[in-house]
Amino acid sequence: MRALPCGIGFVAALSAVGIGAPARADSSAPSYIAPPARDVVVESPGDRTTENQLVIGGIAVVGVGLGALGLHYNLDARDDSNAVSQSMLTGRVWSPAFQAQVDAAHSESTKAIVFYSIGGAAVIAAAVAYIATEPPVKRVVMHTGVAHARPLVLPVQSGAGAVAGAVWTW
Amino acid sequence: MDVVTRAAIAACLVAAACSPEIASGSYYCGAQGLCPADQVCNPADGTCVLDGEQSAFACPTLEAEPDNTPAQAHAVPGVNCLDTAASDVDCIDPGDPADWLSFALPTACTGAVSLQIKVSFDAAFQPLQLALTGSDGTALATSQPCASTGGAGNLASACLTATGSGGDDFDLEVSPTGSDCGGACNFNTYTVTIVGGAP
Repeated sequence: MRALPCGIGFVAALSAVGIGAPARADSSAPSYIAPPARDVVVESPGDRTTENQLVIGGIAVVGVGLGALGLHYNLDARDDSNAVSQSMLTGRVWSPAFQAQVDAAHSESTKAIVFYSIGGAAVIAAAVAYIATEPPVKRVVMHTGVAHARPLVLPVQSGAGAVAGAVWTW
Repeated sequence: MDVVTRAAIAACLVAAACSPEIASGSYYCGAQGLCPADQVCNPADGTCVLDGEQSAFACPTLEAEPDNTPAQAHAVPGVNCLDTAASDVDCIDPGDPADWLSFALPTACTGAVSLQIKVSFDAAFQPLQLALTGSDGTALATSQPCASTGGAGNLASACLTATGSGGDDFDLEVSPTGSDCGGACNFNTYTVTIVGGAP
């Protein structure tokens, strides 16, 4: 439903409650209060497109996933390392099994660094992309100043009285 | 990317111990001088040490040499038939072909006596074996790897069993066998234990 100008609405409202007869605003009446017009500016963040959200979110999720994979290898490397690390003679004899654990620890450590690096890069890329593709802020300006306020006198058909009012227009 | 790599390495370090840290001298050498990649077997004590920290092998000065023939065998005292062990601690010098020991069962032993003889040695160096002969040179038994090594984890052992009787004399040869690491581990220290008892 389309909004009516305030003046028309006001007159229509008076008619609807039977207060007065059909009336006509006196356009020649002088203006009364006319405060300076003030604009209300509303700023709201722009909306990201779904594609933008999916791409950036996907990169971030992949980055976190790779980081988690790196952590997995990191923990495996730590376990293997702890199994063979030793600071003093405790009677253990070096064996091929220990050497295999050392080799595994090195391999897992390398994988951990690789996945940490790629995952970290992906997360950082997602963060940079998030900032770089920030949509512009929406600005909405609302003009709210009262431009004119004119008196309105409406004759009453059945009596001697009259109804006084005013019409504002923006 | 450099920042990412540093962060990854830092995270790895925080998660702790990505790479093993093995202190010099914290492991006994494995068979044939096996050690971690960045360490070598120290002939002096059979432990794995950083390259450059190792010392040359040397038998103790109290080693009974010469003892390379039955005629030069040195006696192992205290052998009995009471299930208690008599022992001899000795050493094979680098390149030494054999050590000879001799022992006798007491004449007081009656009936057949079971002999259980074991040689324990450092598994890092050249393995050793036993050969038992009678006083007349008759071969009586040769050793096999023991079913159970016992003792410290760095030791290997060989065992033999034989039967004798009171008053019998024996000669025991301790000799290297198997790989000598290309001449790098052609030595060893050892302990021979002889237990005599009822069969």
